[in-house]
Amino acid sequence: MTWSSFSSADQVGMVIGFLLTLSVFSYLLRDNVLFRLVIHIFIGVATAYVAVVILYNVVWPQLLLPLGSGDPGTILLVIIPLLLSILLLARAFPRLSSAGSPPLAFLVGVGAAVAIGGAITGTIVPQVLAAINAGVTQTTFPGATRNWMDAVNWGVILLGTLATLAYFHFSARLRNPGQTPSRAAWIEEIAGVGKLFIAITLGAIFAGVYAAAMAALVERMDAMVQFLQALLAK
Amino acid sequence: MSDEDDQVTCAECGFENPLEAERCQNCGADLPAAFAENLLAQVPGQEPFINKARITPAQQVHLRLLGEMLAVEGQALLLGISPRRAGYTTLRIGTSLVLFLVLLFSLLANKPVFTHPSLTSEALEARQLVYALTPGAPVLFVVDYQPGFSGEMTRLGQGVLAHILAQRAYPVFLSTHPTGPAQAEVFITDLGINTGIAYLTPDQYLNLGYLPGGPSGLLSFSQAPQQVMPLTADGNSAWQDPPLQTIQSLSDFSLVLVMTEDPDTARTWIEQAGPQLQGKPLMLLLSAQAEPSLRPYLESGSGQVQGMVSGVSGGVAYQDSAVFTLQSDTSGITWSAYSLGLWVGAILLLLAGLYGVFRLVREQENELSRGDKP
Amino acid sequence: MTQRRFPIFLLILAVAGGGIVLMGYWVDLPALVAVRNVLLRWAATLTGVAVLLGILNLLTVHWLKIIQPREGGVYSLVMLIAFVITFLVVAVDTPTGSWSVWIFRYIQLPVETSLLAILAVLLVVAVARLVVRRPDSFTLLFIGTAILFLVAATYLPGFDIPVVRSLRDWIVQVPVVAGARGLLLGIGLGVVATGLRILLGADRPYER
Repeated sequence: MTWSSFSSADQVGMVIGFLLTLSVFSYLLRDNVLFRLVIHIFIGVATAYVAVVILYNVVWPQLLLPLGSGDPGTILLVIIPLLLSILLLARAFPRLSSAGSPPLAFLVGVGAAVAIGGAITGTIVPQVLAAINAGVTQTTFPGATRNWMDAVNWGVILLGTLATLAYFHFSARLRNPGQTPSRAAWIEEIAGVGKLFIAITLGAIFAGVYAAAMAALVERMDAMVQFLQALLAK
Repeated sequence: MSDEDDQVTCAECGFENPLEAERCQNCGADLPAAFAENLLAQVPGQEPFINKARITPAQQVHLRLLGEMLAVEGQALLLGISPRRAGYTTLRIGTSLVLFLVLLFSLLANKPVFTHPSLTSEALEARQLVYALTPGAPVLFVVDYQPGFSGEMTRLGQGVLAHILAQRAYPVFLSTHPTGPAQAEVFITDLGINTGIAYLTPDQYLNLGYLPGGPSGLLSFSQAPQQVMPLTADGNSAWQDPPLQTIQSLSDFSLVLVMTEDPDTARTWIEQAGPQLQGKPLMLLLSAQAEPSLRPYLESGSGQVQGMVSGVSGGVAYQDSAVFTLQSDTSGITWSAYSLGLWVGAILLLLAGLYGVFRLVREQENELSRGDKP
Repeated sequence: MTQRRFPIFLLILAVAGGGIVLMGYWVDLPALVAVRNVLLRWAATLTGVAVLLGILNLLTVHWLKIIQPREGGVYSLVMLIAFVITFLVVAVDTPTGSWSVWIFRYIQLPVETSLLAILAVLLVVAVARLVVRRPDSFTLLFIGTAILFLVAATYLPGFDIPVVRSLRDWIVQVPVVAGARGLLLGIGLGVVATGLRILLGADRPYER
């Protein structure tokens, strides 16, 4: 595309985007004033956008709009969170910060309950059942029929799952005076196997992280190349 | 090689030990070995997967080292990060030059060298879910990724979104990130540019905006979407037009599609929204970094996740396989540059690994020869 | 409220709210479900307000850096100017208005994407340094898996080795599922333990 095919707003935006990208990339050479300036601009822009979104999507529809509904039940149901919100905002002021403790306590309690319920029903139970059932009901290797390979794969998955869990087992006891607390030897052995599985899993995750970062790098460089090509082709 | 920043602090007496030490040189306490797991602890989205209670002293050193290098959010970068060591700087600049030059060459040469990938089995399942959509079917399209991942997620998701729109289904965008509303607009605008079609709200899609509260908000929305999100992202009434009038719970959507780079976000959707779907499908569009962590849900056999497309490769394969084509299809060139970047990374890591092993062998030989001397 | 009763009041608030929500996962009484839904909506709203609180705090910190001249005051001034301009534009234009999206596309996106992009370099450097300093079996297994996955993700004509791709597929469907499942269960158990500590009153972060 040529430079003139873009609108004025887009042209200005592309120049700004190009300069911002170069400024961030300059960090690879060394930390510098330009980079820090750009980061601060970014923080200002990002937080302002978040603030407005919360006003549009949370404060206005959930706390203010219902007050004008005329329905006593609706108004009552909104006054309580409105009061709690005002108390919460009091935490910004050191002398009044304890007034923000009740809404915080409510949030912590509800948050803990949602986390527990989700963890049990959404992860622990299904994943335990999956670890047991995989050998019985599921083909774990694509294209393979139910055969010895499936049994091996199921065994590896079950062993790996248990070993990984053992790695996170924390109960260490003081075995001998003068030594640091340690786990039982058999748990250490299994945890060692778990460490292998974690090494493989994290290696896979690392490859994914690098791939995601590479996609970002290619996108930025492609954008810069296209910008320069459009500028030169005008 | 000693380096004043790479030392292990003994938890017992506070003595600074060399990184390779297995026991404290002052009091003899154990110094557990470092492990690469905390390499990822600083990367956005990976923190929940690293159990911070297991951080050993050497891992703390690595965290500090990696915190200097890997922090990508603005606040972390402001904490006076300033790589000082000459050797590290040379390595960093050298690696940058290699990567930048290789990618620049690939983009300018304009030759699609690498062939496109094919669909995985889980991506095939995902495609079937979209094919099953009827005209007017409401689809909840969750845009839940950080803006920095836009490059990957756009390439991943635009083919799927184009397919949904080609089926004449009705996407409803939602996000549990505050940047989600703008993210969704950019996503669908860019699709419009690539297809030559201007997609219009509310005729062809709806942007509900930001859903606060994390898991609590998600659970609440699943049970009463109209009460929890009565307005669109820009403050208009959301639910008065068909096909959304009949939406009373999450299970009234024909398909729920979650696009995210964060395993924790996807896990929250699976845990909180999944049980509310009552058999309706949940599909994941995942960044390559999230896929390994979430595979167990796909393979659980309990139908928690019915389809998954992941990474740039998944997006390119999906785009190739569907009956539509996007107008400006540069996936050939950018795919080659991306693939080349992966190869360069793999080669650099291989060289580093070989050098590390070579050094270890040489050090062991030196120790043996010192031990042999009278 | 006396000093002694206030903490008890907070504990009751946390436990009662959490208890009602938790029961709703397994008990299907209409009255309980109704109350639970109200509590969840309040929690979601309050979380949004809490984010505003965080933003207020951030602005205060930077404002203080300007009025009590400290190092970095100029950066704080730049940040606040950017905040005010963006706030006004987005508030008037709505979050999905054309100018709001322009700011997002040409300022926020390039910066955030570039920050992730430089991670590609920093990741390679970090792992290279790690493996050179400590080439133990676990680090080598970690890096070997990463290399295999990077190579197997691409399709170079003439260099496509089926066994590499098959090995990668087997690893992602067996050992990675095992490790990830163990991690998920570990996280789940940790979440349950931490949550129970809060709901039983053993841990009271809201008192700090």
